[in-house]
Amino acid sequence: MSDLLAIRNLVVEYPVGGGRHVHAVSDVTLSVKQGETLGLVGESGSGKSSLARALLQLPPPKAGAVVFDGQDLTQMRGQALRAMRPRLQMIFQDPIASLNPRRKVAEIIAEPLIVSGVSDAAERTRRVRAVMEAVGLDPDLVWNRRPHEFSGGQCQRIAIARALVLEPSLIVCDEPVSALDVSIRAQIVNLLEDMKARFGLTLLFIAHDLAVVKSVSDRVAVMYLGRLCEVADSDSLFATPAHPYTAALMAAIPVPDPDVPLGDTKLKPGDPPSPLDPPSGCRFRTRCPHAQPRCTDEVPPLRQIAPGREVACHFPLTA
Amino acid sequence: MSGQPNMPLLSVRNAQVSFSTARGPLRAVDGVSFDLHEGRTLGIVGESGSGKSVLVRSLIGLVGESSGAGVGGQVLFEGRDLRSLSPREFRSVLGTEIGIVFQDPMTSLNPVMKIGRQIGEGLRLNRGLDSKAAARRAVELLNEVGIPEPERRAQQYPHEMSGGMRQRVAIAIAIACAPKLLIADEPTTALDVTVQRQILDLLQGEQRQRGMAMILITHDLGVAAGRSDDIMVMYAGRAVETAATREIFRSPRMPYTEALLRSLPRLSDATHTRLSAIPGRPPDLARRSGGCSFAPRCTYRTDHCDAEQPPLTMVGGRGYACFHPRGVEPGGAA
Ligand SMILES: Nc1ncnc2c1ncn2[C@@H]1O[C@H](COP(=O)(O)OP(=O)(O)OP(=O)(O)O)[C@@H](O)[C@H]1O
Ligand SMILES: Nc1ncnc2c1ncn2[C@@H]1O[C@H](COP(=O)(O)OP(=O)(O)O)[C@@H](O)[C@H]1O
Ligand code: SF4
Ligand code: SF4
Ligand SMILES: [Mg+2]
Ligand SMILES: [Mg+2]
Repeated sequence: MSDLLAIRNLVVEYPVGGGRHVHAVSDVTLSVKQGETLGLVGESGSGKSSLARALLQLPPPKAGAVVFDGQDLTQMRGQALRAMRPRLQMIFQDPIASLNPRRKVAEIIAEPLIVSGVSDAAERTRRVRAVMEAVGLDPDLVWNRRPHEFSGGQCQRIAIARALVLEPSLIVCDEPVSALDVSIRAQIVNLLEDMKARFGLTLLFIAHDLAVVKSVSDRVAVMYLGRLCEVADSDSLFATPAHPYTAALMAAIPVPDPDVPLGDTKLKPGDPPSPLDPPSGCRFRTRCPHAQPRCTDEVPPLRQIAPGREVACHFPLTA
Repeated sequence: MSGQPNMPLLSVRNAQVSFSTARGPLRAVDGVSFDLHEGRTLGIVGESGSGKSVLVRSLIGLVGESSGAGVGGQVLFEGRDLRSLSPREFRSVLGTEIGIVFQDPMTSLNPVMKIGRQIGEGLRLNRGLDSKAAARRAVELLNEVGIPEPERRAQQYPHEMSGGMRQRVAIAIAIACAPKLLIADEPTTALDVTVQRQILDLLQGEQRQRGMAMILITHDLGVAAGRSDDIMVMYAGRAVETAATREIFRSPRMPYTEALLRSLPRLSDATHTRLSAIPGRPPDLARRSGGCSFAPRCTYRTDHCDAEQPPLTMVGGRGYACFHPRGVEPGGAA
């Protein structure tokens, strides 16, 4: 499969005054293949949302290339970039906040059509109805209602419909189920899987719930403090994590089975460091039980250790 | 003081909490009863809005007439009816016998008071320590909850610490007066999994070492599985199932518990395994029906379920609120 999206050496920094910067994304190189779901995991502040926004050029990154279907979005301006927009869509964590409260549901879903120049009202109505039905909303019941009249799960359906209406190639889902009730999450995960199959989508699926990520992703990328730790197909990543941080993340997942004993934390005690002043060398070294002097001096580059497996560690667990 | 050997530390009978809202009365907690014994951990699980927080806050007087809520039922702590105590007696029980940790430590920490002083305050007020002794004890407690350089940290303010560290401080405050009961309301929901793991280890370690009883509220069934002796499942303001943790996971009786467990993605499943989703969504508490709250979403519902609310039935040490419990022969145990 070919790459639909290739991110190269992406850098996102936020100035915070006094000449200091938050190093949100540092030198990340990552690709998403046509038709796959790439899961992106990492703890809060590791840079997942910053990466997502930067690849959609909202705003453009400080450095790096974002090659989408052969064209570098970071080099495109104005009309050319606007012409690409319909092909990349995003779904956010907080479904209620991401929808305009003053607009009716039909207007919210039709808005991207208007922006991209679909001027025929009958055509818009037809497409909005079709996409509502696809996501399990009854057009006759929801058409004139407003977001606050809906639950979080229903709002996420509306957001998914809006993302789908322009028939995009890629949808970036930033924690699409984290804010939903546990009994609703499976509905939305299934809906995303169905939509992916039906519309031939490629997904970048960001989440911190590793079980959800495993369930939907063909491959998974793990981030820590702005850098990639590991990229692998989902089965091998979960079976044999190669990066010590991936292993720690997995050890920390609370398993819904009282007979599974709590294993070792695979972490040194202590808190995650600040992204304002990340550790030198390997950013995980302050919590890594395998750290050596070399880890302080040298940034471990992301390198291939097996076909389809990339790891940024001087001493990977499975070599 | 600790009463008869079999007397529960905490006994809650028919707890009720209602709020008056623009859309009429909302019964957030609707007749919940449970017992908690010394040294045990009760996990309360349920989705957002099921009444977990309102229930425990009402037990300790944080939700009540003063906040515009109607509260009913009985709360016995070591046999004493907490609701009949004078405000002064009640404050003293709260300060010394019951510790509380909330989801967001910033809501319970004072932003303009140094950490060390906040930890020592309860010791001065309730245990009669002088400021110097309280300050010394605060540093010991910071050390105990795993904060490096405790002397220096004691002089800092909450905003100078990370979320995980603030939660450790909140735990230090909660255990300072050596309470018999620790209530932790989603103590790790705002934290990352690796930090969550460390905080849960800390809570469980303190609980075991001190022989405290704990109420651990969580919406994460994984957290409940690993950390509680018994579980109470709440749905729409009611306790719908209570049992030993292993029984809940091995043989859920209540269809909601069963459906919730089935809907979880499992790491052991292959990628793209279809999840078994629960249709519909939780009911609107201001528009209760006369029947079982789960009926609109339940695969096993019958006319009986719509007509009448199933009471929590206790059978063989476990309880469920269902007319057609799973894993029970029809006409058998019930
Ligand atoms: N606009 C901004 N200004 C300053 N710092 C920011 C800004 N947006 C994000 N950051 C910081 O950049 C880092 C990465 O943030 P980002 O939101 O990308 O993380 P994330 O992985 O999506 O986290 P979460 O899991 O909490 O959503 C964090 O330290 C965050 O505080
Ligand atoms: N002060 C209040 N006024 C009105 N309704 C409230 C108030 N506090 C909580 N509720 C309602 O009570 C129900 C239970 O809330 P809560 O106990 O916080 O749920 P949980 O902790 O299980 O997520 C919800 O429907 C919530 O909206
Ligand atoms: S490079 Fe060193 S510190 Fe970083 S993860 Fe590998 S062993 Fe640990
Ligand atoms: S009482 Fe009826 S509707 Fe309610 S959970 Fe049991 S079977 Fe389902
Ligand atoms: Mg984010
Ligand atoms: Mg709550």
